[in-house]
Amino acid sequence: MSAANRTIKVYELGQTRYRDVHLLQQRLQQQRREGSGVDSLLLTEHVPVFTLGRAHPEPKLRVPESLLESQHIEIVPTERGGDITYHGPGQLVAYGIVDLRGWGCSVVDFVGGLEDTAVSVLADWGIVGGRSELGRGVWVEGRKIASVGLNVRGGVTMHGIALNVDPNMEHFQYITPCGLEDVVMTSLSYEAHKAVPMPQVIESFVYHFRRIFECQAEEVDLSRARAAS
Amino acid sequence: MANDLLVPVLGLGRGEGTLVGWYREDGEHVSAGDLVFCFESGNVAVDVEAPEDGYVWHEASAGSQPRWGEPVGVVLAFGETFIPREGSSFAPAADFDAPPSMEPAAEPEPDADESPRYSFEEYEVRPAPAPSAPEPITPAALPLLRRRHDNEPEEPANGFWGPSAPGDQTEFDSPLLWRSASEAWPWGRDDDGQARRRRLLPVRPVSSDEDDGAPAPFASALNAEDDWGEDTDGTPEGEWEPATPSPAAWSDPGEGDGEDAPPAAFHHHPAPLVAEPRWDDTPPPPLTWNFEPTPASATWAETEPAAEPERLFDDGQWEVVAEPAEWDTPAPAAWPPAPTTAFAWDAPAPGSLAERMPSWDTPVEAAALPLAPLASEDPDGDWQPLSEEVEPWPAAPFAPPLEPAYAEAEAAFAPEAPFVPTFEARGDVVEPWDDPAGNADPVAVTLAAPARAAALWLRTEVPAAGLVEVQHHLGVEWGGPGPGVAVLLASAMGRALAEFGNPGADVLLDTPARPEAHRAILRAAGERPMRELVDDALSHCPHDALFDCALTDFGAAGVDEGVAPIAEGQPFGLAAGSVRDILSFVAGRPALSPVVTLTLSYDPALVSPGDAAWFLGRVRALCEAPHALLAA
Repeated sequence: MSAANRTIKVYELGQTRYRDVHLLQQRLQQQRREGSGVDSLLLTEHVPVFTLGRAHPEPKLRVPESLLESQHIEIVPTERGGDITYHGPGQLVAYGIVDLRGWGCSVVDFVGGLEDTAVSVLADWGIVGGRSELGRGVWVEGRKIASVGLNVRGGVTMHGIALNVDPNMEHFQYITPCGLEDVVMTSLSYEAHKAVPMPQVIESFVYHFRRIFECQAEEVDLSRARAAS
Repeated sequence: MANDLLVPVLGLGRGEGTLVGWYREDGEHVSAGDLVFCFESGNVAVDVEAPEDGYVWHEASAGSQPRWGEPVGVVLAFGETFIPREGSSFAPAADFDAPPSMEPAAEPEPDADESPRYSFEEYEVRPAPAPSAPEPITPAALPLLRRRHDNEPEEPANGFWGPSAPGDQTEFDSPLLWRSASEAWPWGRDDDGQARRRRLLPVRPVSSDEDDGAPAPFASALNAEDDWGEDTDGTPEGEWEPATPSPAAWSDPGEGDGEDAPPAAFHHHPAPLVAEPRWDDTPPPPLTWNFEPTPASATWAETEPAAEPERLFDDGQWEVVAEPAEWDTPAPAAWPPAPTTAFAWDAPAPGSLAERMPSWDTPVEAAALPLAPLASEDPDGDWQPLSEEVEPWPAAPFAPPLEPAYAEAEAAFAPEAPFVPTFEARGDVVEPWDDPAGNADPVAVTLAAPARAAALWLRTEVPAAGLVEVQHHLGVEWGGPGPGVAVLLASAMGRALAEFGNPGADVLLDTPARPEAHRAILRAAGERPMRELVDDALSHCPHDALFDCALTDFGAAGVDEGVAPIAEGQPFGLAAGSVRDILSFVAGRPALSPVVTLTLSYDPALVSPGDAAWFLGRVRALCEAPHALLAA
C-alpha cells in the first residue's frame, strides 16, 4: 500500500446505540464529501441490534419478530453493502469514514486492509485467520469471526468491520448471518479459549490499522474513564 | 455531450454485482455530484454520482447484474437524443424521441404488497446546491475560521492562501491577525470599517536563501492588500504588489497563468518574502516607565547602541519581532545603585535599639546575622557558592512539626468511607428542625437553617473548540441556533454524574444574567438527546423545583469565570464562564483558541478532593471531545 500523508482520528465511543452512531457516520461522511471534516475511525460496541444491507431490505430471521421485540432488539436498515448482521456488546465495531481519494487508496485496498487488520489482531492472540471463498470478512477454519460491510459515496467510505470478541453468540442464531445459510459464527475468546479484554483488542486494532494503512492515528478515548468508573 | 454512467470497478468478488436501485427517475434532471444509482458488489455499496449536469436515462433496471465498467445509463445534455446501444434490450420508461425536459417519466404505482417493510430512508438524495459565492467573514463566522485552521493543511479552493483579490476578506490565514486588526487595536480599522492586516506583528523570513519549503501563511496575510498609507515602491493602491521585486518570488509558474497570477508571496508554497516590515505610518505611542531615576544613574540610552528588535518567536523560518520601544527614561548604569542617603528618617539616638540594628553601611562581619555559612571569600574577592562543609542553618526553635499537622489535615479531609452521593437534600428546600416543644416557628426555622454549604472549589480552563464546533454543526443541521455551550456543559455534567453513581441526574441550568435571569431544569441531562435538552433549557422552572446539581452560566453575562453556590446536601456545583479566545501556539504558530473556564464548587464534607478533581476532569474530557455527547 502506497505511503501517503494519511491521518485519521480514532474515536473510542464505548457502548453506543446503533442509530446514534449511524447518524454520526452519515454526518461525518457528508462533511467529508463536502471537503471539510477529517478522516475518522469510530470504535464502539453497540447495544444489541440487527442491521440490514442496502440490497436486502427483508430481514432473514429464524425467529418471530415478536421475540426480538420482547428482547428490545431493533432492526435497522442501512445503506451499507451486504446482508443482515448482528451487533452487540462484546463485538468490536470499527467504522472508517475515509476519503479514499485523499488516501490514494482503492476500495478493494481499503476493504482488504480492514480484513488484514482483523487478521493481525487475531494473530496477536495466536489465532490464524484469513479470507474465504464463502464471502468477504475474516474466517477461522471455516467459521466467520469478522464481517465487513461498506458504503462508498463520493469516494468517502462509511461503515466498516465488526470483529466478534466475546459477544452473545445466541443472538446470531436469530438470523441468517450475512445471508449465508450454513455459516458458523465464532468469536475471539472462543477461539483463544480464554477471556479477551476489549481494551486490549482495541489497542491491538488501532496499532495494526496504523501499521497496515501507514497512517498517523490521533486517538480520542471517550470510553476509558467511563470504564474506569 | 452524453456521459455514460459506468458501473464502478471495485475489484471485489467475481467481476459483477447488483444494481441496487436508481436514486433518480428516468429522464429526471440531475446536477453534477448528485447521487444517481447504487451498485453493490462484495459487501460494498457504492453510490455513483452524476459526472455533470443533464438528464438521466436508464439502461438497466434495479436488480440487474451488470459487470464492472459496463454502462447502465447515460446523462444527456439538454436537447441531446438518447440512442440505444447495440444489442441493448432494455426499454427505457420514457419515449426517447421526445425532449427529456418535456416528457417527465411517469411515476410507477408502487405495489403496497411488494414494498419492503424495512425500507432504507435515503437521507441525502438531493443535496442542496453549493453556495455560489462565499459569505463574507463576520465575527459570527469565526468558529468556521478556527475550524478550518485546526484541520489544516486544507488547500483553499482557489489554490492560494491569502486574499484572492484586493479588498477580499474571505481568506484570512490567521484569525489572530484578523481579530487583532479589527478589534484589539483601535487604529486597526479604516474609515469604512475595513480591518487592517498590516502593522500587527512584523513577520519576516529569516533570510530568503534559507527558505526550504515551509508554508508562509502569516506573511501572505501580512503583505497582502497594502492599503495602509502610502506605498513605498509606488505601486498603485489596490494592485497586486510583489513582496519582493526579485523574479524568484514568482514561484510555481505552472499554476499561475501569466500576468494575472498573484505573486508568490500570496501563494501557499513558500517564496522569498519581503525582507523588512514596511512601516509607513506613525508608530503606536511608545511605552514609558514611571520610576524615578536614581541620581547616580548614567545616561543609559545614550551609551547603549541602537536596540535590536526583540525576537519574540523564531522557528528558523519565521520570526516575529517586536519593535524596540523608545526608551525615554534612562536606566541605571550599575546595580545596586550607590547609596547616597541611606534612609530618610532621622539619625537614631546613640545607644538606641535602632542604632544597633544593621544598616546598609554595616559590614557583614559586624551584622548579627548568620551569613557566614552562606559564602566565603576567595582570593579574588568573589563570592563562592555554599559548600558542603559549612554548617547548615540552625533550625528555628519555633518551627512547627510539619508532618503531624499535614496528617491531621489530611485526615480531616479524607472521608471515613467511600462517598456515595445520595442527593437527598435538593435545591433550596429547608427541612424544619426537630423542635422538642413542637411549636417551631417556620419563619425562624427558615432564617436559622443553613441554606448554603461551605464549599471549596477547583478551577480549570477547557479548550472549547470542540464545543463551538458541535454547536455550529447542530445549528446547521437543525436549521437554526444550535445548543448553547451551557447546554452542552450540562449534558457533560449529567454524564459525569452518571459515571459518578447518579444516573438520570437532573441539572439546573441557572443563568443569572440580568435582565433575563433564567432557571431551567434539564431532566436526565446525561441520557437524553441534545434536542430535548434544548427544549428543556428554553422552559422555565420555579425557584423551589428539585434538581440534583446546578450549572451556573456566568458566560451569559459575559463574565469569564465565577464560583457557583451549592446548597446543603449537594456535592457539586459547576460554574461556566464565557467562551473567550486565548493566544496559543499551534504547531509553532500563534493562533487564537477558544477556552471556557469551569469552576467546580464541592462540599468537602461530602466529596473528597480527589473525587471532585476526577469529576471536573471527566467534565473536561467530555468538553474536549464533545461528539460523545451526541451518542446516548
